[in-house]
Amino acid sequence: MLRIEALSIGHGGRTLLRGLELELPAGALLAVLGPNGAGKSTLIRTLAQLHPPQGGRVQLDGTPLDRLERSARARQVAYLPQQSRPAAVTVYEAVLLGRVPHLRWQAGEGDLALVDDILDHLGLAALAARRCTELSGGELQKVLIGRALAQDPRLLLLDEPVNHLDLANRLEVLALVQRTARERDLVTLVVLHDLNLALRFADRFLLLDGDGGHRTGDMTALTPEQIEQAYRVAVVRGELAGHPLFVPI
Amino acid sequence: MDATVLTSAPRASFHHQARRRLLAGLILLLVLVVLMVYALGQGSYPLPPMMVLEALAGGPAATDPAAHVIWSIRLPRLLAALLAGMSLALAGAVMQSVLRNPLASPMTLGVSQGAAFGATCAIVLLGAGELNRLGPETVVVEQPYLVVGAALVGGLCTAAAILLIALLRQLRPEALVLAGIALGAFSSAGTMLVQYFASDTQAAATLFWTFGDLGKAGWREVGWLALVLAPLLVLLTRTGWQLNAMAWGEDSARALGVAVARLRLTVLAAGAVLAAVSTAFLGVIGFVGLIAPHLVRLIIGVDHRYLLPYAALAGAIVLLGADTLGRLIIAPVVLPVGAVTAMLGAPLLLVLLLRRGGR
Repeated sequence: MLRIEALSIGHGGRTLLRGLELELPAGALLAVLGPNGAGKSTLIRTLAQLHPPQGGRVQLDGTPLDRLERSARARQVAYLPQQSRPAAVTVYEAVLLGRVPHLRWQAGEGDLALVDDILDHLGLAALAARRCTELSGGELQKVLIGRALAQDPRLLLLDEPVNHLDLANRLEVLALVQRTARERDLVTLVVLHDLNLALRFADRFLLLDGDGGHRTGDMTALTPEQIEQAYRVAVVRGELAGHPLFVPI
Repeated sequence: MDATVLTSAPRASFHHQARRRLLAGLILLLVLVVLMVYALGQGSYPLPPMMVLEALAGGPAATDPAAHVIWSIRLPRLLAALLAGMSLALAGAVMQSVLRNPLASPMTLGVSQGAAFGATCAIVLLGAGELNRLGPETVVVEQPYLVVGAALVGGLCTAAAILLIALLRQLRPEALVLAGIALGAFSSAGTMLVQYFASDTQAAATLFWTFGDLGKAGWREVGWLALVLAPLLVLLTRTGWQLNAMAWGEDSARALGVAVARLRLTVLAAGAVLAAVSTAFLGVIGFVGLIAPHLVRLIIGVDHRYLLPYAALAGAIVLLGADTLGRLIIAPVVLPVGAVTAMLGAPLLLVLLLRRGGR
């Protein structure tokens, strides 16, 4: 359970988000929405303790995150930055890196077995010996999600994980994130630009308007008026082939 | 059925890779040992490998000429080459990793030139010594510790300046190499200016620090180099996992629990100490710190748990090889090893660049 109380964040003197109150149960997937520059990434980075908040508290399973020592925090919180330049290591090594917060010096059999499991889970087992620099964008994103899972976290923070992926990979990666969050009971926050992907995969939303305000609720409760207010684009909500979607008008 | 499933698990590829890396390490070690025995046998008093091994086994107390040549002349020089090569390559490897710049090395960051500037100042301005050409190898440095101390101060000040710039201006680590090049040029210019005002004998003494030469090495120098290298080699190799995480960017590393700023600071400081100490005792030796890590990356990839110790081994091989070549190529004239490493290193670097297709 992630509990956020009175969280305010800003960037360079400008307040992006004021007084956020949010409770997310384990297994829930929250889509972080909002226009460019609204502070989505800053919020994710703040929760990952990479950016200092202007005020407020964040607790994970009752423990304040800012009280945790670095490695202890990395065992609880996994964070995927917006862009990662791949290093010239194998897929296996890249995922094993997620064990770093758990390791002293050598990776034990338990660590290796866990990485094996994750690679199977993500359908990456056949690529284990491939270099990350030779992967496609979708494969690399899955490897990075694999590393995050290898951290064995309680909270998963993904900053635009599908932004430069093609349609098939967007669906596949987000389905994977959704399934993983439920199976492993993770609290998951995903920054998304595509509202329709959010409608399809997320349970809840957090919509930032960039002026310090925000809306939050169940994904089904997101209204065209809220979207118009945040993005300044008029939309209508419809349904096609059983999937709800927003269409700009 | 389950046995085949187990061996074909993804981790099998990881184990296979680990075995190949261990093998590569053994081969590097073997090359180094063979090169050592060969180098000990070469010179104006040639010794076959068996006699080299006998003299080594006989200990330093033996009185025959072979033992004297090995233990008093060739072994300290060889060990100095080994230790300086290891120090410079290790320094270069960690500098390249934490600055995420393949061009980082003790030379390109100006640490070596800073150390040479320090030594020059001590010799000329503080009157720590002069070179008297009484014989072919007569150096009179009246206060060796003053020179070495000043060289250390020069090298470490350069490193400190770079770190300070990094902290104050939040420079991108990639850009720090540019700051290093500027500081290196400043030190070189300072060295030239001080030499310009020095007496002939003093200027000759300062030359020994502006191009590296292993002829300065005795057992005392070897002892100091080993004393500095041993703990730092262990310390740096222990940061292997963290450096692996850094390869994916600062935010990724922080998210994995790595204290990025502290790691960068300690690792750069350790690298600067290694480079400054070997320059303080032996003078400026370039290209080893740049080339050796790249050679190892080509062989085993970028896992720092292996890269750092193997880069040290490769640095020892490169420097010892260069020194042996410099002793033999126009014997009995012994070329300064700093010039040989640059002559060999520059084309080698170009070959690496071309092979990697400009990446």
